Amino acid sequence: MGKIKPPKVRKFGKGARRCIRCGTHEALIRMYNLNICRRCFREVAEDIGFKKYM
Amino acid sequence: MDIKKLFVKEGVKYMEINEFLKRKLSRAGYVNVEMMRTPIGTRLVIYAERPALVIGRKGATIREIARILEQEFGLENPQIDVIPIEKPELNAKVMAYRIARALVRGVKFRRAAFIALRRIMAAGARGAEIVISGKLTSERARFEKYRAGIIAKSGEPKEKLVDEATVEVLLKPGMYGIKVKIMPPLRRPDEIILKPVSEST
Repeated sequence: MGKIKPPKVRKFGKGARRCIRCGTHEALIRMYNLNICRRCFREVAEDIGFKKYM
Repeated sequence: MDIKKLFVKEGVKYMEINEFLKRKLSRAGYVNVEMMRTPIGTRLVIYAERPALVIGRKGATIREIARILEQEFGLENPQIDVIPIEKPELNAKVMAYRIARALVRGVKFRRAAFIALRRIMAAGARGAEIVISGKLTSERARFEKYRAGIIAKSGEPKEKLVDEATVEVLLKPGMYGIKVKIMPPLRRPDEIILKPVSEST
């Protein structure tokens, strides 16, 4: 078996940012430096103080 | 800095602490936490159903939580208070967790719901609603709703009075959801309380 290559550290782009809650690179909300994916946002919006999904 | 970002940052911090405590204290019937910044440090008030489990033997658990909060979440000198919930029967989150635990133990869902509903009403609630959804009896998922008394569904009474909680629980057939709504024994805005007639006039 081959050696395990460490993941490439990216400086910019989609691959550099991940959701602080679940770690996905997909559908990230970057507004207000939230950095939470849209699915996690719906779950925790009320805790953060948004009134959208009350 | 942008003021909006500051508020969101604080909210995200609260969310992270809340999620951490929720995971850590799931067995102690954790409900919520209040954070206050004081000159000495950060004061946290944890509301839980069973404070003994939050504190642990000779305060072991609470000291561990304080250490993690200080080191990993960057809170200065966290002071933790634990307060039990008075009247746990009137707290939607506590009751939802109790139903969830009953379902895990293998109690029939209808029985668990009716027991909880009766306890809520016996504690003096104006009304209550319990919704259990998932693969109840068949492969096809359904939900069943149990109601008693009155419950506000819209407007200010719903937002101000009704206590709501949603809990998910993974059982053998799949994910189950439990929603509990409780109308506490407070004065509704449409309620008219008559003054007793004075006899002197």
